[in-house]
Amino acid sequence: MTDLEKTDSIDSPDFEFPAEPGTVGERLVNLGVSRRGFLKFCTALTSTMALEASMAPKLAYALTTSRPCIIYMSFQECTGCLESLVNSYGTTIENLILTSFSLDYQETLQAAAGTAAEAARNEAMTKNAGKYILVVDGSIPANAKSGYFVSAGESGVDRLNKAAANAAFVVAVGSCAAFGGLPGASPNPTGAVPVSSIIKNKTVVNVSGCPPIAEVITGVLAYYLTNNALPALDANKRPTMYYGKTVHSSCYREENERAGHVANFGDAAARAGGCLRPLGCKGPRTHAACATMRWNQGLSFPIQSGHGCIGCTEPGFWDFGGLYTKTSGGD
Amino acid sequence: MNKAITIPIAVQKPNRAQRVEQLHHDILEELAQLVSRFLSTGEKGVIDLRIRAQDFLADEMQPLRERLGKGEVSAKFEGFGHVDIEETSYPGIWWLSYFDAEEQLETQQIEVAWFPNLLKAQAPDIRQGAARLAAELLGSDASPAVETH
Repeated sequence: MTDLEKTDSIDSPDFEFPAEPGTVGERLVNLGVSRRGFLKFCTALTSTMALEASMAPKLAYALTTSRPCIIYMSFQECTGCLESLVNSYGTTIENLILTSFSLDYQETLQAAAGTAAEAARNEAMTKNAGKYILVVDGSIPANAKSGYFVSAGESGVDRLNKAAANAAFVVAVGSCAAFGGLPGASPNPTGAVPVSSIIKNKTVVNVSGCPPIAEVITGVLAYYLTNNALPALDANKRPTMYYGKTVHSSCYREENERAGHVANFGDAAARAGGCLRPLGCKGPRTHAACATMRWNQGLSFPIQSGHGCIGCTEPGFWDFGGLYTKTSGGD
Repeated sequence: MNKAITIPIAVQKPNRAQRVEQLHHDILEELAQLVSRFLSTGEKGVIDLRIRAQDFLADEMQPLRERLGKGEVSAKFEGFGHVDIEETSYPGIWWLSYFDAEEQLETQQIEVAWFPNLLKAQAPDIRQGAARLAAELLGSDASPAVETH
């Protein structure tokens, strides 16, 4: 039986989740969670991450049979991306990232420190050579001898190259890792560059944003887990499933603009849903899923809360000019 | 060339109400196709509204829910939050509302099937239940008294 046939039969009454040792499946069995409960969990999870409903049984199968290794490394960053990932969602995201995947190295979350942590990372990379996923946040000083960003006696460039050498692929989380971000903004004192400027022989997926939506980060990982392949990427190496449309084109205020309702600072039109473009909203030229997936479990997004988009998912957004400077172009 | 640019072209986009109405119409058409396919091939179908209607608000799907109407069967699944399951007035078309543990709506799905997969007891669960039942019987003090005449 092929894997596809196995996943197709997952909704058969006779199907038994394999519950391989170390997987979520085994954990669920031990906790006495029913298969129905697990299917409900997977359905909600795929929907939350904007993955097609047909992927739910595949995700259920993948979660019960495998536990990919993740090495998560931070460079010149503020830890906002990791905060977004672990704090913004109650249960499912933590479940996915911390139980579905084996997070073998993350300096902020792990208990180990110093040489013990470095040894654990090296061991995980050796054991999972060619298979582990390298997640990176923060940008990296291009010059290894610059003196900026040295960790465990190694330059950022050396650490990144070493970690990426045997990775299956690299996920650059956040706009710093994807495009240079704040460290790379003019005058860029550290000579910071994005991950893709250093890693040339490996697929780099940019999950940009300052920070990115948590469900977008995990959605990319879940897509890989269920399909054993990466989603389609745009010209900026971002998954089109999340970055294919501009914020403006999906925004509920867009049609108000067409009807001539635009906002000014603090006026009634701003509160009544008038388009925020005159206030410098960068939505028309910013590709992101904020208007569709929203933040805080789908509760809202900046424009819904009354503030224009600042364009944080686009290359070089810190150098766009003022946040409240009206932009031209876009859709 | 410059003159061509000055030709006034106005792209008429539908307003939001029209877009919502069009989306509802498209979903109903797709449901008709899914039902037809299900009857001829047995292949089930699912439409996830969080994805299909991602440009819209959950409240804007309520008119679609009302157009589909309410059928004879409703059920509630409890586990990892809960799921409200209702058959629509069109047999075989089910409306499922998924809620998380904090009662937040996670998604709404329209499923075309004999009955939603979630309702079906799974064989491994039944086996575990059977084992628990056997243990319960073993643990009871005595067999039920048999009346004699």
